[in-house]
Amino acid sequence: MSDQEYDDWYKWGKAVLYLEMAIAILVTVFSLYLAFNGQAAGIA
Amino acid sequence: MTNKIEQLILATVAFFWAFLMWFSTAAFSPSIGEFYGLTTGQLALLASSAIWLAPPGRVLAGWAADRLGAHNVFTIILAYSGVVSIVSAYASGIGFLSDFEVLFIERMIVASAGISFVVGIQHVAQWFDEHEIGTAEGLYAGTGNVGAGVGALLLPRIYGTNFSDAFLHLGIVALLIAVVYQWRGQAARDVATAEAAKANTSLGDTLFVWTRFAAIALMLAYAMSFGLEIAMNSWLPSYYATGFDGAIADLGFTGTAAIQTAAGTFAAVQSFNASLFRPFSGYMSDLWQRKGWTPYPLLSTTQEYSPRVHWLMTALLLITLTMVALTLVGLAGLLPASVVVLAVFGVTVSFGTGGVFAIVPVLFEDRPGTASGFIGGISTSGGIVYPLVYGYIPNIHMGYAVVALVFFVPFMLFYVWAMRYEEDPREHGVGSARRWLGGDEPAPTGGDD
Repeated sequence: MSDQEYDDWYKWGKAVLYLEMAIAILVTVFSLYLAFNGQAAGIA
Repeated sequence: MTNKIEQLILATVAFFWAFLMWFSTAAFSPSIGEFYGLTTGQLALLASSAIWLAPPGRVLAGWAADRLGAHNVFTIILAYSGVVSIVSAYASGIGFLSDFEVLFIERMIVASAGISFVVGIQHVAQWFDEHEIGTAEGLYAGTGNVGAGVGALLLPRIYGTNFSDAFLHLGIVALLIAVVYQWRGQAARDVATAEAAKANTSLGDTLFVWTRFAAIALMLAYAMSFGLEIAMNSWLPSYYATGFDGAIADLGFTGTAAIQTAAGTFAAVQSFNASLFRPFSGYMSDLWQRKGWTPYPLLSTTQEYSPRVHWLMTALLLITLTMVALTLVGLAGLLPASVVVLAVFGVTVSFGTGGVFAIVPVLFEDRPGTASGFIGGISTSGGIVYPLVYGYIPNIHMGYAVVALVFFVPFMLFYVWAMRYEEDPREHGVGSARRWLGGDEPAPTGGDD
């Protein structure tokens, strides 16, 4: 099945899911930063 | 005039809000505990009560979506949960019930907004084509699920300890969304699709779905993923606070509030990854389908949707392996490594949740609500069972490996057994299609024609 058969929404749908994955990765990085630096990080 | 994108946005926004209301009680549990002078046991009861109504409620809601149309059922759910949320802002004792007991009952009813998941799944399935269903369902469910994480993160910061105002405002917005859903929502892309779903809502149709081995296998797969996700939502904060108490103290977190903040931040890694990678799993299911990938020798390769079944198998294997890895890094006492494994774990859980609901609407296209209700409903029992096992095992880190071996390995073996048939798997189950559905015809497959 080729990409041409998808409606326009599909490209925007993929953009949203990439954005959501980026948010999940940011939360993970923040949590990991906390796991290494603890209270010293001053952001908890 | 409407279109499928509007329907997708409607379902997603409504489900996001329903999920926010589902877990809003948990976000304020310290404040509620202090206000009413609750014991730890009472707080745990309040937390677990949020899941009690999910298994039967989802089964009923899924059936009702097929019968009445998803937009009508979603409106009803948002309306009653919104009204009760507003009322719960002014909870006070009635008769022999204390203030807290009234609040407990009211919040349990509000938490039942989470049953709307299967209604939205049915709604999206009635509007999107088979080749893009994985991405559409993933966007709906993933974006909606993160309502739990967003609520935990934002509600206490916005409202502080004033949970009454939060419940009031959440209820008012739910009523507004209900009005918009009723105004703009439509059951299906055409009358024939809606009628096909409506025509298949008899008791025989329900029992037909419940007795299919493929439906049971998908229900177990969802218990391994979504059931696990909500179990971890409630379990992980106390796991980190207890299992890594030394490491957390070394980081400078002392005192209950600081330890809870740290443990909650580590636990959030699971919730965010499991929710926000879910659309990616739907996309991957579409991709496997497009590429025709079927690597596993025992699973059927001849069904139209076989690549989706193989993608889900990959997810189930990864979930099981990361459960064992969580135990190993826990036993080693490595906090940062545990956070990394937890992130990977969240992603693999999302592979499972997204993978299941990329298959359900395709396999049961004429009974999407009934099938979603069974698969998405019964599986939430995992959210109650797994934490009990974690708590029962003497070593707090061993629970994950035990659940993986005792529950997940047999679940996977059943999945392989149920999905091995080269002919239509819907023909395999307790009793034939003819027995449950009557007539001489096999299960109707329906569709646009």
